[in-house]
Amino acid sequence: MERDLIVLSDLELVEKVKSGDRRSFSELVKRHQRSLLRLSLRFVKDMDVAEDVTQEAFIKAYEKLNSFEGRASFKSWLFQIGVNTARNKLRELKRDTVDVEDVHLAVEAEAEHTLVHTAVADILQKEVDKLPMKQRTALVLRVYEDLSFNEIAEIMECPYDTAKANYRHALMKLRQTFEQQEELKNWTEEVGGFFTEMNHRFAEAEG
Amino acid sequence: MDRKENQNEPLDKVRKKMKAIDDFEMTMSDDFFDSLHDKIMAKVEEVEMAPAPVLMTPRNLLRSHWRGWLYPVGGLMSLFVMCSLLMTQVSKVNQSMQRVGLLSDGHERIVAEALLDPEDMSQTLISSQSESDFFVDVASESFENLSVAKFNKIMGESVR
Repeated sequence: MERDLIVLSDLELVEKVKSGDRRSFSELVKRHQRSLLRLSLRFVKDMDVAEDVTQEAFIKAYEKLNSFEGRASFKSWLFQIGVNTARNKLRELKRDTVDVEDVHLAVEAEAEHTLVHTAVADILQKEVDKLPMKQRTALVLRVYEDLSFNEIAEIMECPYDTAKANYRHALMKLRQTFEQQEELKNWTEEVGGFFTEMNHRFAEAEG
Repeated sequence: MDRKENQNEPLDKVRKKMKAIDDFEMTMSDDFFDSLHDKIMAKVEEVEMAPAPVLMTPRNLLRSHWRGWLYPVGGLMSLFVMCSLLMTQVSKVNQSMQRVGLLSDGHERIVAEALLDPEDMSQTLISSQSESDFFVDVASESFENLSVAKFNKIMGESVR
């Protein structure tokens, strides 16, 4: 019986849920819980909170399923609910500012390749967190979720051009960060080179 | 087009860099997701699906129908409003032009009025003149009606 559900499209499953079949909703949860959890985690940075957001989003989706008309994909609609729920959660937690250390909760410890890489990732993450919510949403959905601007516009409930403009603004701000990082790297190399040479000369003098 | 692509190029680089730096991974096991699924479904069992909304909110209405008919109808409505405004302006211009026309051939009108009611007309005309104009008119009229003898007499008296 479950195999039958696997072959059905999201929209077909939604229709079945609307006609009273809760098992079809179970299949929808199985299909989208990973991506929704990942998206929530991008915003809230805390696994427990992200789990709550995912649960809440699915429950809201179930409650409001009759208002889903199928103009957008179910995934876009679900992500829209997820993003709104995450935004509300962030507002609730606003007083407790997100610490850079919390970011590591979302990042696997073993995945930290080098110190520099982690530092850059941290700085970047900080910059992403500083972005206005709309720009951040557009950026996360485009860069990390690989969604089209049409889908992003659906999720953000805004026109296509607005979604694109938000994404571009976010990227432009981050480009500045990258450029500053590049300058810092060059400066470090120059200074590092100077000290290395000094060290060599000192060693020669000593010898 | 090339210019636009050139503008996008650095942003695409940023995007790629971001993806490269991103080390975000979901390390949760299948058991974790099974448990999450069960939690969600347990809560779903407790809630009821809300009935479909009968009336759409204006926002949803606009979003769902703007491509179909709302914008063309809106366009026609605004065109209608503009036309009605234009019509009132045109009628006002017409009226003022008619007035200008009447004033330009005022002479004919005055004659027509004078023929209908000469007394009233004369009073109107006098009232529109200044005092000095009135006396000059009277004087010129007197001179025109003056007989030669009377004229000579006046002139003679003045010469004398």
